[in-house]
Amino acid sequence: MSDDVQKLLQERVERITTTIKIEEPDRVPITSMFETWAGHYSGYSVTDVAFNYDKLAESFYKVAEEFEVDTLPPPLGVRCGPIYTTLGTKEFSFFNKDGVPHASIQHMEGKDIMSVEEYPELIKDPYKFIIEKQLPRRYKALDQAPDKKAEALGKACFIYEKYIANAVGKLCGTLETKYGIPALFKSSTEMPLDALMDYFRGFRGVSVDIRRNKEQVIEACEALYPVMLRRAVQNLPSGPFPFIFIPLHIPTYLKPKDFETFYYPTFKRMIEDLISFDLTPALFMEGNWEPYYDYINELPKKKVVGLIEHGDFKKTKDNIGKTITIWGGMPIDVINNSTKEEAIDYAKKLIDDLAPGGGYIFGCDKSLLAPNDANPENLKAVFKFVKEYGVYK
Amino acid sequence: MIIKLPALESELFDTWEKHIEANPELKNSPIEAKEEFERSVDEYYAMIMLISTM
Amino acid sequence: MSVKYQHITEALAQLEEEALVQALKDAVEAGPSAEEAQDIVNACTMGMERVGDLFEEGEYFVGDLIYAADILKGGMELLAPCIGAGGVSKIGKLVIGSAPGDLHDIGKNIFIAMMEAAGFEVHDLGIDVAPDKFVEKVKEVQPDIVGISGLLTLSLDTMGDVINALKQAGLRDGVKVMIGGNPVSEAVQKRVGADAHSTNAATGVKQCKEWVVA
Repeated sequence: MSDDVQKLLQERVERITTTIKIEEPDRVPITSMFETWAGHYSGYSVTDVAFNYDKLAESFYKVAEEFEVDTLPPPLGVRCGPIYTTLGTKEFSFFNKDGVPHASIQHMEGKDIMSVEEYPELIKDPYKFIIEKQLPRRYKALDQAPDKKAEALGKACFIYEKYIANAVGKLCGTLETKYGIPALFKSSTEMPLDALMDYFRGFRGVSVDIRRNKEQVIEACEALYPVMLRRAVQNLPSGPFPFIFIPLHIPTYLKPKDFETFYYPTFKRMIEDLISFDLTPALFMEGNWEPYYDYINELPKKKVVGLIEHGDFKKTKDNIGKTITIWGGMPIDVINNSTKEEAIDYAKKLIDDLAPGGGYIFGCDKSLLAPNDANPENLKAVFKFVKEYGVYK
Repeated sequence: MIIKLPALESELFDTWEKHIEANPELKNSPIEAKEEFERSVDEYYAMIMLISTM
Repeated sequence: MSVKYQHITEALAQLEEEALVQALKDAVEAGPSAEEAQDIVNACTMGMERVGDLFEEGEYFVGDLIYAADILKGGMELLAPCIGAGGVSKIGKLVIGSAPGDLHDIGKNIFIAMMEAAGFEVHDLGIDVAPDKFVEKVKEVQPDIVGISGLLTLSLDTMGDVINALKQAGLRDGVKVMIGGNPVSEAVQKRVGADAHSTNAATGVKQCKEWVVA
């Protein structure tokens, strides 16, 4: 690493480390979730970046070169294509039957993965339920005789190792050593109730289970807790940032009373446990979290980052800005449907409202996936503006 | 940072103890044998957990 | 509106599934006339409307809408023996589908359940619906409203494709078009040429009712 790059890296690390303590750094840090959009921007398809780790890396280096970002998350949202094709997924699709790539990864909710009668089995031994029932129902190659199933799992291990080494390790390593851009997340996980929804009972399933099978939902969350915590902390890479990325899926579809009963207990515990390991939960607070801000304020202070999608951001800063670091705020709707000047004006107001006191990271409100998710000229202009305007005096 | 991996309980989770019970001649294996066995169980488990929740 | 079945409206509005099921079973057992059967259905419609109001007021959330739709579906199955061959009266027709390239349908299905409860005849084209399929169906059933639903930001462009296809077929002026889903906005509505947009099933249903009553 050259001295210049080393210096850039150190500045960026310090900028973000100071920000998340809810103190004022030299300027507001800038980052966003670049996923398959980075591929599109480089002229690559979804298939290119999900299956070819060199093309994936190239796309990210181009983002590093052209956008004023201080850090970048690893491309978790691009997903590891070969795992899905080797295991025969029914849920994720990168290309159609003619091999034509989709413009955005298609995600179909898994059907009939777990019936409501299977709660006791899941609760008793989640690992066993996963190996014997959940995995074969989600992946065709695992729904075979034991020898073939073992072979499929063996292949998956090899594919996974190479993916971690290249799509994550090498990519993030180069971002650091060549561009001075540290990788934002060490790992990711989900909260137990989200895992129950996403990979077992589905959205409709959980929505009615919390009425008809209340106790079982709570017990299932408890049973899945060690699984999801392990997922967060096992085999963490070294690196300057302790962020664990956690997308939060179901909360804003639940009224606060249901949130408190079914989601909050394992949500709070996961956050506290991660903090006890000196890790920083980086929550993607999808939807509008205003009805749940009181719960957010009960979390350990200055230990959590929240990427917030919707809401009145000034109100958000006033309400929870002393508890968590706020990330986000720049709507891609504005980036795409306004003039450059209008987008910059919008960003200016965000900085005015959210930057004071530190604890604010500038970024887009959504992950960038499809080709038209961000007008590149506007996005570049806005990031450049924030780099200059976001200086703390 | 000190990470304490939560304990895993499952009928299917393999342990060194179960392994040497089935293979008593390995009772006095070097420490590396036990460590690598346990590491491979952990890695395999991590792999399963990842593909089951992604 | 008959008070006879008010308890049915209340049970659905309060999401009290057991009470609703019992009330419907009792009502069916009493052997209602065709007119009374319509009253029972109307009681359910009012219950669902109340659910929509509570959603708009911020009391209920999407999870509650899903549960309400599920309870209502069960309720309609219980009532099926009483409802005559003519079915129940409809206030309007809707053709709806997920935008081309979009495979998501939960939001669309919640909206459909609420539209049916509100008295609309709904033709659901399913997911990933090509523009010409929309055109075909609109020609066939001549709806009042066309709904295009999408979850992906990608779908914002393909929604425009559907509307353009309707224009080219000379059908655009004969219908109202509503786009729905998380990523839609007023800016998108203007850009693609829709008449309304909705990120909220309850207000979406209200707008549709206004259109057909006018």
